[in-house]
Amino acid sequence: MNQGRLFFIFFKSGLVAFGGGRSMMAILEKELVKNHKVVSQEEFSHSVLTSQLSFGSSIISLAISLGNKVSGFSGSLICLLGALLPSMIILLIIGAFYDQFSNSSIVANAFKGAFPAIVSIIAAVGVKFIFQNGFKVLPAVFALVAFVAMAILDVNPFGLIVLGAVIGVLILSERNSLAKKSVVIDKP
Amino acid sequence: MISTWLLFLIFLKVRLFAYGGGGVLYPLLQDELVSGRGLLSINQFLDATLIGRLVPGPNNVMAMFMGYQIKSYAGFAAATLAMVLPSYSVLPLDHYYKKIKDNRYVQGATKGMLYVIGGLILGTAFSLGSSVIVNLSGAIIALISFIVIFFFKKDPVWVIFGSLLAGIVLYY
Repeated sequence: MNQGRLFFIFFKSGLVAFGGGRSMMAILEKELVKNHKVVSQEEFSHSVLTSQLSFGSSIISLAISLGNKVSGFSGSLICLLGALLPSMIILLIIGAFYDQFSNSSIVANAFKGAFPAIVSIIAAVGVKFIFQNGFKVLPAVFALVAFVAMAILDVNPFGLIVLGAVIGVLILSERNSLAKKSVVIDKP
Repeated sequence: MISTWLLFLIFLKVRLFAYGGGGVLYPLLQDELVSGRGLLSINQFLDATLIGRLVPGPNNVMAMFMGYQIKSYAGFAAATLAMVLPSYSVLPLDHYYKKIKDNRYVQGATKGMLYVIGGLILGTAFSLGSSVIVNLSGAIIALISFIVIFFFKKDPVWVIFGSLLAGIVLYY
């Protein structure tokens, strides 16, 4: 596949990626796996998994991983740029008008109406995070402690994430290994 | 004014700690840029969050716009680079995937972080809400928005358009 074509596919996927990565992933799968057959279904699924484990935004990581599989390091740069360029162009256009925007009273009023909605959007993200695997006691306790620590006691959230990871290593990885052991013991 | 290099490092730190989902960017960016260093006002922060939701792309785009708000094109470039660079960790991961995934300490740490994150995001909503939701109409907009997104599972973009319109009508 030539690199211009590759760039265009990612550019197109970046253009339709409203509100996250689902639609973007669907386009990439269709183009790269089904239409052009430059990545196998298995390779694609593998990239989806590793991109979710990577640091950074999983969509960006997915573009890098797929680009690298199709045509090496230069491929990863082309796909990264293709995926991100639509957002960058639109952001810079909005940025150019941003000062005039903020000074207009009608825009100020509209934004005043939208701010409470934004708060709810963020809150919904948080609630979905906590209940993503249904209600479980341990995750809920972790979340409650983190909430109180950050919102009321004003504890640094970076520290809380590190603390979560440390407690996770101490308690949660232990549990995991016990579960594995008991499976082994239970087997006849 | 803050140096571009420092700004880059701040965004890089935020992106590296936002492991486990773009939603974690909310508490971390708010802590660093708004309450920590005072580089953005709460209103500017919410402007960027709103714009980030309307522009196609990952949650990263709101951070990129915050870079622009703080230091124009240089800030935009610094934020963009900082948001993108950590994603290259996917290439070694592609290589060592099985070993890393099956390591029980990695699994434990990831779980612990994921459990904490939801609380942090809610904490951000709480502290933003307490300064933004100041009257009854604001509370009603917030309540309706939450119900529409969470219970009716509508795309947040519709909530944004609806509330923008409500603002024009209510505060005219």
